[in-house]
Amino acid sequence: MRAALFALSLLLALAAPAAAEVKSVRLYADRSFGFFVGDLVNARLEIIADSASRLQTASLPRPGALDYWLDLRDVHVREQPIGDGLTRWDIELVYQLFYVALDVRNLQIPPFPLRFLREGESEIARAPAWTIGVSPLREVLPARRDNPTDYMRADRGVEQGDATTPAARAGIFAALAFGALALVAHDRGWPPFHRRRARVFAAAARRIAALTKGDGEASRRAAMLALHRAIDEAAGRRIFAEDLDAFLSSHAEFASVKEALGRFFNSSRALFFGVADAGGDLAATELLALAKTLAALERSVG
Amino acid sequence: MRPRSGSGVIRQQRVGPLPGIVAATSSLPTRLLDLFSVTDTAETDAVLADWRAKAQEFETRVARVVLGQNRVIRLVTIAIFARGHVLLEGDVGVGKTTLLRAVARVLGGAFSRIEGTVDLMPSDLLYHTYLADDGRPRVEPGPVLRHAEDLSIFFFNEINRARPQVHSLLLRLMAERSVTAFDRDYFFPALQVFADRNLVEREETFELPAAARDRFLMEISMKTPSDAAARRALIFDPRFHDVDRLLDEIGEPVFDYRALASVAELIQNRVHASETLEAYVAKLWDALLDPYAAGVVLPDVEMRGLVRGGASPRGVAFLVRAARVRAWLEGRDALTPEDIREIFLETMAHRIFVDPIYAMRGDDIVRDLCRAAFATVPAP
Repeated sequence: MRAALFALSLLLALAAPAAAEVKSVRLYADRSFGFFVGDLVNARLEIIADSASRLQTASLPRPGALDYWLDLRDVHVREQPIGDGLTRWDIELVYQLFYVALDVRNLQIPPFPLRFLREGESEIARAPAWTIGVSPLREVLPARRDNPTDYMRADRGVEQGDATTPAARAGIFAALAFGALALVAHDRGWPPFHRRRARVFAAAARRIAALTKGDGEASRRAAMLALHRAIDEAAGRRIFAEDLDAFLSSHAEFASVKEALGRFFNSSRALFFGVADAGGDLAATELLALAKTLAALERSVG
Repeated sequence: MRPRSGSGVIRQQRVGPLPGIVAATSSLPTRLLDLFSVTDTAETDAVLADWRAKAQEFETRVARVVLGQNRVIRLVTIAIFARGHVLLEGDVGVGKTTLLRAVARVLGGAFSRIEGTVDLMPSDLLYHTYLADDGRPRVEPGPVLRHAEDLSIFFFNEINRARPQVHSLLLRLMAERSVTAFDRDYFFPALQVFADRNLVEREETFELPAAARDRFLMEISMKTPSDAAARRALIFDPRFHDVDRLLDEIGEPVFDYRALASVAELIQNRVHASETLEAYVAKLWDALLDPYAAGVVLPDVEMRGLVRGGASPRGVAFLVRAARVRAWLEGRDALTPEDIREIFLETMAHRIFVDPIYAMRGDDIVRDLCRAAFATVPAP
């Protein structure tokens, strides 16, 4: 709000009928003089009326050319109740001046009517006409120059911009982008977030080594199960005795221990499923040796 | 069993018994018919080894006629020795009927066959009605009753063309191996029902009710053989163009169908399941009943509440029954997880019903679920 306006304030005598509820119409402008061609002229029209009144927006002046020397650029209305059953309408007006003055003179900004409706009756509030003083931009008769281009003013020099803010912003955004990239890489498992394939057989070998120290049926079963789970995990599915060939063809690194693996599966069948004559009982030391060999082969592929 | 007929003329039956089969089976050694008396383990093993050789011979003979379907033949063999009924499904012309006819030939015993049609009524299976030469109406035993106790294979072609009334009669026939007709009960101790259906047409067909599907031991899907040599032979070898002549090549039955029940009993008693395996099957069953709790995951599928029904105790019992036969065919006397897995889809998939929201994805989702269960549940 231009509260500290210094310029003119016009109070219109309200020569309206008794039914009229428009209390006051005031116009505030920045200043009333010192305008040049191309200047924007800002003004605020303040109307106080009964809250029951409605401003007919169709009666507002339309932006566009008002005269050969004057354009209305923008109209903006704000409505605000101010108590006591009254409402204030602030109409911001932006004019632009195209008058090329050769001397200092006053021009009149034309008045316009505004229509208010109240209980089916309409009332006209008139925005006042006001004058602004325009001034010439150049001399009428400038000193003579030999070169016609000398009548023109020199171009403005190149501005030295301040690079501090953009550089700071670039730094911030680069940091953000890098952070986002790190998140994506973590999500997708790109380096350096790609995890090395878990060494399942190494873990199994450690577990089996611990279990084979204990003597007994339970620890033997647990040791067999540990190797089963490691094979399952390496394959990504459950591997049964009949799947051994398929497993070895997809994990060729273990092909060299095919025979030992076959014995392992056979003894597992005998142990867990009671398949008679499955061929060979795998001793605890052999089981541990097999697990260690598998772990070494697993390490060899990385 | 037959009502008195004045003329005593029996009209030509729609499908007669295969010539020469009764004579052939009666010449088989009678020792095998009395298998229940076998108590000695060594003798049991000898008998079972003997029958395993016969089963292999059975498979070989059928495979000579039906090319490139070794897995289907293996499954049918398992069904025969598990004494379960089989539903075959697949495209038109892949050899479903040929396979079943070949199996009937090799198996021996009386064979009866009926074509499912939309106007087929349950009484058409039981009774054959016609006007005799003297102009009087006659009612005689129909396809099911005609051979009475000798009936070993009842072949229901295009079962989904028959109405639900027929399905319900079939239900009793399959579950109890008996029907009531002519005011008495008929029993079929050796009966095995084979049915086929093609899944191409949907017009004028009736989906089998869940209860009927549950009574089939297996639902085997038959596809065009993938083996290139078999495909070429099927196209170019004139041997395969005349099915009747092709079936004649099979020769005499390999074993006595009447002994099958006893052999099946022996197999079930002889092949044992360890505690670990019992726990494994129980865990598999749990995984199918509540895949979410078991940690079974399928892509794009909400696992909570996915399985709505099925996986019945009867189904799981059938599963183990068939798995025991598979173990026996592999020459083992103990069940392994491989036996369960080998026959799992065929014996279980048709008993599992998933949330109707996935109905458009057909049976694939159940198959995927079974595979995922196998990939998840650890064994041993």
